[in-house]
Order: sequence, then structure tokens, then C-alpha cells
Amino acid sequence: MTIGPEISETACPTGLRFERMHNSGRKLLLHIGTHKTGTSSIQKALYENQACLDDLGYKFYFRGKGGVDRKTGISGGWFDRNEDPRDGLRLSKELAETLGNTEGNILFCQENLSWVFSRETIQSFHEELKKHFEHISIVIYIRRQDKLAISHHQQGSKSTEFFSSVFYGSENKALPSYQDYFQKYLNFHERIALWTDAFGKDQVQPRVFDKKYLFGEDVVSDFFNMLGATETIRTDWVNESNGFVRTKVNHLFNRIDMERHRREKLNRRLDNSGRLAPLRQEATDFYSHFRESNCKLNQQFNLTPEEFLFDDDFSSYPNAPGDEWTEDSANDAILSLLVGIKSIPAIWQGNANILLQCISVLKEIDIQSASELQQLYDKYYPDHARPGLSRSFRDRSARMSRKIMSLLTNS
Amino acid sequence: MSNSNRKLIIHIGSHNTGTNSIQRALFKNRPHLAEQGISVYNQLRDGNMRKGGKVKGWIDSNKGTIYPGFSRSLAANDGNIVVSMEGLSWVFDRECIARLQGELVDVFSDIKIVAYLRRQDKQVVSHHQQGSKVSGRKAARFYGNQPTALPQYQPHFQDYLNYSRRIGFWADAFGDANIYLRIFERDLLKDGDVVSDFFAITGMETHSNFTRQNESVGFVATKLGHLMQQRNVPPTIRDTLLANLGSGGKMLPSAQEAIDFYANFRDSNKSLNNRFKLSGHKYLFDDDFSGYPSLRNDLWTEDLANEAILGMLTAINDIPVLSPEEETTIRECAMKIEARNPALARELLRKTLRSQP
Repeated sequence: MTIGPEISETACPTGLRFERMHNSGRKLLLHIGTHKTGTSSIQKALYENQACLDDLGYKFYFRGKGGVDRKTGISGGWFDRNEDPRDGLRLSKELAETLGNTEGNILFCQENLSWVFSRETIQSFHEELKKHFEHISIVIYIRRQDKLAISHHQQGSKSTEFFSSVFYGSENKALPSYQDYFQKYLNFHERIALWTDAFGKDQVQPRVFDKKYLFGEDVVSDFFNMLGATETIRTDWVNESNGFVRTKVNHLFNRIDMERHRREKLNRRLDNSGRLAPLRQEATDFYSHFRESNCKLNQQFNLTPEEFLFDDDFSSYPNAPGDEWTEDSANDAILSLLVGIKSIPAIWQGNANILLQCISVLKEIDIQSASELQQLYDKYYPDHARPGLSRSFRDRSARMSRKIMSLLTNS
Repeated sequence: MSNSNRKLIIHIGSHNTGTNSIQRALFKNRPHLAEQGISVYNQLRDGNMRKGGKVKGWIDSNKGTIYPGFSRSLAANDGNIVVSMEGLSWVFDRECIARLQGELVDVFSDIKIVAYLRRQDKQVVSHHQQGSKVSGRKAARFYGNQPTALPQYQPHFQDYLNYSRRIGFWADAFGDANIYLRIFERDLLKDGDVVSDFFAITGMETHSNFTRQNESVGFVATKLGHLMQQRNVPPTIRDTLLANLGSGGKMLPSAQEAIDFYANFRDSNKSLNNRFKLSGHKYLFDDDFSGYPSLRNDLWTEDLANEAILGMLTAINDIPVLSPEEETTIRECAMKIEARNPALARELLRKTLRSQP
């Protein structure tokens, strides 16, 4: 935490300070995302500055559904996946009641609320919350859609546990190919309307995730300033973006739902420098699907002087593909993977004879150990008596070949 | 031992000129050849017979020489002998070849050396690809492990690919008249087939027809194979990783790369042709490079790299991995075995846990 000079009254260019809005009654502040707008940093700062929040009259609620408190400040477990990933996440009905039953003014920060696309759910959420709180405010940071999707898709590559991995798919590129259903998340005008329709327009405050519109050019400072903090709160930027090779390989991990321990072992070997970048034209085309809705949102909230809410600067994108394998990057990735693969304690076809020899020696030394090794042998080489590759191995190979072709075809 | 009327035919390669097909044909025809008084030599250095026609183990590839005892082993067989051993193409030592001739001439009255030659660019594209396989370790050491269709030219390639010099050593030792050189081009082979051609030029009769086996692997497996050689991936892991990959596609250099590579050998080809009058082409081989693309196609594309990595990862995801408890069991077993057989204990740990005691 860094304590800076006192913030001036005019330092908050967008929105109002919340402590000025409501002077009596229980208050609830919901930070609903979006993802990849510094939410992890905000959560970390909130966790680390709970005393400051007390002074501001808020209690930071970060307990998970299972009653677990995480030091990251991320409250987990309140969401389930819909069967169709295009429908986003389901919100647990217990959250509203739990927040309501917690004493004091509550601040809840969970970007997964951005995955809730169901109007009915959000309305029910509001109905339950208003039983407990007199004043409910909602904050949402928004980011130009091309930048957000690149960052979000990259995050999705890390694990299938991230919902972004199924929402955007595991296409091995910087930007996923545009799909109509992306509008459910990235059409900010319509998504925020779900919240304004339920909670009221004045209760919802969109904020633009762009340095020039953030107080102190920093999202954490901006958020605390909005809360009415008189000190500048900063935290180390929680930035865990993966590099070029790691991102691309991890998208492929996702495609086959790579087992976690193997994934970790292999990831340790992969280069993590560089970044995936789409072609400038790809980024422009992707963004074009959202310009009009951004314009409407800006007309509604008067967030920035830009007609389409965000700037139109795409100069940071390259004019040549920056997200495809080159000869060198592919070779490097494969060589690194091979080193990682060699280090995995696996049972490879072809090592059966070593185990047999060991069993034979152990029988003369320690019959119990021989028996344990024999059990391992029987488990991993059930049909090793056959010459060459075992039948199960051949069958598995054929199955895997079909699976790979299907993965490549469907990608 | 007398040399009266005994014949010896030595097929010395080159690699990737249908040698496997010739060896299989010889092996399969052993009874029929025996009726003609010809034995197919398939003895290993340890005295065992190899199950197949390919003879291995007699070449010291580090020195490029033949291990002692080869001529004695040949001589120990009765009658006329045919031996097919492309490993002899790795012998770059003039004295060694002269010594072999000196040892054999006392036993055999008629010794013929047969070699098939292929234009050097084609030879190396094929041979370097073989170097990506487990069976191609020597080629991998010689040409390197670059995952490209053509390795970058190195002066030591002349040892193998300067046919005028290499074949010249054999001709100097055994006499030009005893060297049967054939150009490995379908149009120039009898019936367009190397097996038929081999049997025809050596005067042997065969019962069966043979179709040549294409043992080349696809683009992805070849490139991965080179990279695995670079990382010394054990055959067991290698087999598992490659088992899922398709065999489609072929790595090729650009026409210009092939021309540039071949330019290093044209003059020596001319010398060989002048000596043996093998073809009407001034430089022995034709100058047709139209089989190559104008742009090289031996580099990863997005799709092929994804296919390769996905294939490897799918294999890795599917193999059984030892649980921590099983790892402990193996470690404890290794400790107990170590007192009795340290090498076996090390091997157990290395092959299962990839670690040392």
C-alpha cells in the first residue's frame, strides 16, 4: 500500500463518490467486473486495506460459498456453469441472502457477475438484495472489446477451469474468431442494461478501463478514490499473463483437457516471453461488432468524449500475424515439451522388461517388494506377453489419432 | 583356404536406394539362391544370425572402418556368397577397403562390388529424413538434427557424397571392372525396380516378385523425429509420441536450395562418369529439379505445428503416470536392488522416474 497526497475533489472525473451518495441505511456496493480490468488487483488491494475500508464505512465480503476466505480477496463458489457455455454462468441464489445477512455496509467484488446473462437471475438477485439493503450501487469497468477479448482469451488458455476457456474456445490465436454469442458478454450496452433495468440507471456506474480516464492512471487508485478514500491506494499489479509459447501450448492443453500435474510439469519448461498479437485488421474487424453498442452506452452514461466510447487507435497491433507459429517458435516449444515429457514419471510401453528383471532380482531379496512391483507390472502391462506394442496400446493409438484429427478439424 | 571358383557379391548401398527391399528379397529367396549355390550372408559380429537380410554391426562408425573379422566371417561360409550391407557406405578409409580386398582375394576368385547411386540432393533429402528415426542414428550424427528437408552443407559431407572419391576407393582396391555402379533412377533400372535390377546385374535368379516398400514417414513425424534426436528422447517415449501422428506430407527444400546443395558434388560426379562411363549426362545425373517446389515446404505452418504438438500432448495425456505412492514403491525397490545389481537399480529409476538414485 502506498499512501500518496490527498486527492482533490476534482480528481474523480467520472461518476460520483459513493460515500456522498447515501448517508443513511445499509449500503451494498457490487463490483461486477468485467474480467481483465484489474479486478485481481482491486481484490488484492481491498483485502490488504480492510482497515481503510472500515474507515470508509465498508466491510469487504470475500468469503466463498463454502465458507472459505481467500487471501486473494476473491470470493469463489457462487457460480455454476450453464450447460451451454453461450448462456454464461448461473448465480447461486444464496449469495444475495448471505450478503444480506452479513452485518454492516458490504462491498462485494466478483467479476464473474459479468458472466450472468440471465435477466431473470439479475432481477431476482435485486429483489432479494433490496430486502436487506437500502442503497445498492454497482460498479463495472469496461475495456475496448478487442483488448478485453485478447486478454480474456489468453487467460482462458491457462485452464479449463476458467469459464473464458469454454466461452471463447481453445482456438490457438490471439483473438478468438468472432461469434454472435460474444455479444452477450461484450455488448456492454445490452449487458449493463440487464443491471440498470433491475437496479435502476442511477445505481449503475460504468467506468472506462483506460489510463487516461482512471484516477491516478491506475484502476486500484481509481476504485478507492471512487469509494471516497483520501489516500491514494495502490497495489502491485497482479499481472499473470502468459507469453507466446505458453499461451499457444496451453490452448492445446485445453483442447485435450490435459491432466493438471502433467500440465504444470510441462508448463515449467515452456518459454514465457513475448505476447500473442492479432493482425491489426483482425482487431479492427473484431471491434467493429461492438462500436455501435458502445456509442449507445456512451450516449446513455456520457462516459467519454469519444463518439464510440473508446479510442480508435489500433496502431499497437502488427500488420503481420503475431500469433502463429514460426519455425523457430514451434521448434522451441517442441524441444521444451520434449524435455518436460522426459521428466514425467510415466509408465512407457517398452519398459516392461526392466520391471520384470527387477521383480526377478527382488524375489531373491525381499518377496514383499517383489510382490508390490509385480502388482505395478500387472497394472501397467496387463497384456505385455504379446510381442511388440500391446494390443491395448495399438488400439489406444488408433483412438488417439482419430481424436487428434477431430480436434484439429473442429478447432 | 582356396579361392578357386568362389564368387562374392558385396552390395555396399548407398543408403536409401532400395537396400531394404533388396535385403528382404535376398532373405526371402534364400532357398532358391541356395539351389544356385549362393548363400545370403546375414551374420552378426557376435556370431549370431540376423533375422533378415540386413547385415549390421560390422562398421565402426566413429572411425569409418570395418571391424576385424568381417572377411574371416564371410570366408567361413561355404560356396558363393552375396552380402548386402549399406553400412559399408560409411567406410571412408582407403586403407581399410584395400585391406579388406587383400583378405578377401585369397578366398574368393570373383568379387563384385555393387553400389546404387542417387543424385546427391535426392540422396540427402531421403537419408536425412531417415536420420529422424531411431534406426537412423548414424545418419543423424553425420547430417545433424536440423529439422529441415536438407541439412546445411558441411565439408565433411564429401566423405559420403563425393562418389568419385568414395567409390574410387573400392574401385582402386577391387578393380574398375569389378565395380557395378547403377544409377538409382526408375527409368534406368530394370523393369523400373531396384530389386529386379539387382538380381539381373548380379546374374541371380529369383522366384518371387517384390514390391518396394515405402518406408518414408510424413512431414510431422520427420520434423519431430529430428527434434527428438536433438533431445535424446528414448525410443520408448519416442514410439509413444509418434504413434498418433499422421504420415502425410513430405518435407522438401526449394528447387534453388537443392540446386545449390547439389552444386557441391557436380564436378566429382563428372569425374566418376568419366571413369566409369555410366551415363550420357556430363555430370552423371540429370539436371531436372522440377520435382521440388519453388518455395521450401519443410518449415512449420500453424496447422502442422498444432498437429504435432497436439499429437504429442494427447499421447502424454493418455499414458499412465505413476502415483506418488507408486513412485515411492519404485524408489524403495530400487534401493533394495542396488546392493545386488546397481546398474539395474539405476535403469529402473531412469526409465520409470526419469531420475538417478
